[in-house]
Amino acid sequence: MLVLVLVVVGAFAFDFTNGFHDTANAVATSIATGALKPRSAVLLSAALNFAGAFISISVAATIAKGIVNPAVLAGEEGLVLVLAALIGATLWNLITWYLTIPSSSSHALIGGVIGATLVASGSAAVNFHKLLQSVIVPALLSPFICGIVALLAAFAAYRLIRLLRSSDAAKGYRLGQIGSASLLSLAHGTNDAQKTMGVISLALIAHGDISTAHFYVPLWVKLGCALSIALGTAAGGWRIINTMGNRLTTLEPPQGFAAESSSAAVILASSYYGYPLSTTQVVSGGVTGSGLGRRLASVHWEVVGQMVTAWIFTIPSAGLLAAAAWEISGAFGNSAAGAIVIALMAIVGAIVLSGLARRSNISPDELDRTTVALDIEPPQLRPPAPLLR
Amino acid sequence: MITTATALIDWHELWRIVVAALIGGTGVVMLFGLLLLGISRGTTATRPAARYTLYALSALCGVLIAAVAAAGVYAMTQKPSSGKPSPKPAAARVAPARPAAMYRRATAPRQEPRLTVFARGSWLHPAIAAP
Repeated sequence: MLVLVLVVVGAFAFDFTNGFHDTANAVATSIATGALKPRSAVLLSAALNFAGAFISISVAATIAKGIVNPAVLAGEEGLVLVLAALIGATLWNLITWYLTIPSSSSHALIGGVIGATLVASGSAAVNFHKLLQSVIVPALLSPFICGIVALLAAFAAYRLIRLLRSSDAAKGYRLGQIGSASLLSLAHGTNDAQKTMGVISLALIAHGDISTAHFYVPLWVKLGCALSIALGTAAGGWRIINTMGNRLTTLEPPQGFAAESSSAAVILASSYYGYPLSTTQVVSGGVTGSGLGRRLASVHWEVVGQMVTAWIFTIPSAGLLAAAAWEISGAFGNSAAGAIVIALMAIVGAIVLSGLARRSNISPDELDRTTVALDIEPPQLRPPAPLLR
Repeated sequence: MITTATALIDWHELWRIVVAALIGGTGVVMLFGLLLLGISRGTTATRPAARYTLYALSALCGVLIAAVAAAGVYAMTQKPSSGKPSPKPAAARVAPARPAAMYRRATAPRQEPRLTVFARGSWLHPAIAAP
């Protein structure tokens, strides 16, 4: 029972880090273009993430479904394995947050499960073909797909802006961004809160609290996951918001709107057709694409390089951390004692990383651009053409 | 390499996603631009007929954008990932899964059923697969 409680608490903790790590996906561009004040943006996103967790009643039965053999997740040792995976993923989320790099929380969780499974059961328990098919290939494709869509959208937006006054365009697209960011937050809540619901449900099945024949997600699990991701989002991952909104490229409201709309379209289309994509990678591709969509816009390729490097290392690193947690727990027999030890070590690690991050803290006030008058610079300025005058 | 890519990527599905994203993403941005253009020109139009035409164009764009957003929310509720895991087959219950540590700690020669990949992307327990 104690191990189950630790798994549930660990899942909520992971959901919390997922929330503040991925806040940037939904609101970074809105903050960067001054469409929303930073605090208002994260509160709006938090509310919609909370609501999004309840939108769909379909729950992915488990993260890493089909990638690891479900037999290894049975019994108390299975619960310890899930805890080790959650610890690996949470710590990797915190490390990338400290390094101010957006990375996929879902990939971190998958990496954690794979790492712990590999040391616990060997490579026979991991389906590498499925890993390649449902994680690696989509990770390679998603930034390009969204990047191209955002590039075309930004290009189209700037063609229309030539016919508008600069101030009207800035004001209008800032308003539009509130809608696009809201849709993105809702989609994020639907996708990511349910992954944690899946993990907790899996733990409850392993513990015998839920039968597979009469499967349901208890209300407290839904509420807990929704609340965790909402609180995490409200905490505001300002460090990653800064990277996504300001360091990748210099964004104007039409670009922000194009990036958010394209990202929402790609995420929703892929969810609908059952093609798993990482929200972080989609949005990063969208921001980069929208940066390229405006002529003379500069994309900071060194930041893109750092981000891609972090993506490459996410699964192996989270896997290594989870494997280490499993081995440490193994020294105590992979029982309740081992679970308590690795949970305490994870708490210490989280405190250390938070302390380190506080040294180079980024406050929301530093990111506030609502008072900055943005002048949109279309590629070729010319007087508005007469239209139905 | 092409064969590998073909095996790993469902091109048909991917193509549908790209088309849907292109229509949704660029379409909404263009519609929103037209909406702004209609409002901007409508406020400065001198003739009432022109003003109302432009406002009507903006309203139409607004309705279309709302429809796309509603379609997006509908797509969220229609995700194919099903929540109800299928009950274990009878054969799996006869040969229960081994806990994680048993894989590692087994010292005796391996005579227990081993996990084998029988088909691409699917795990089959030998107890289920064996005729």
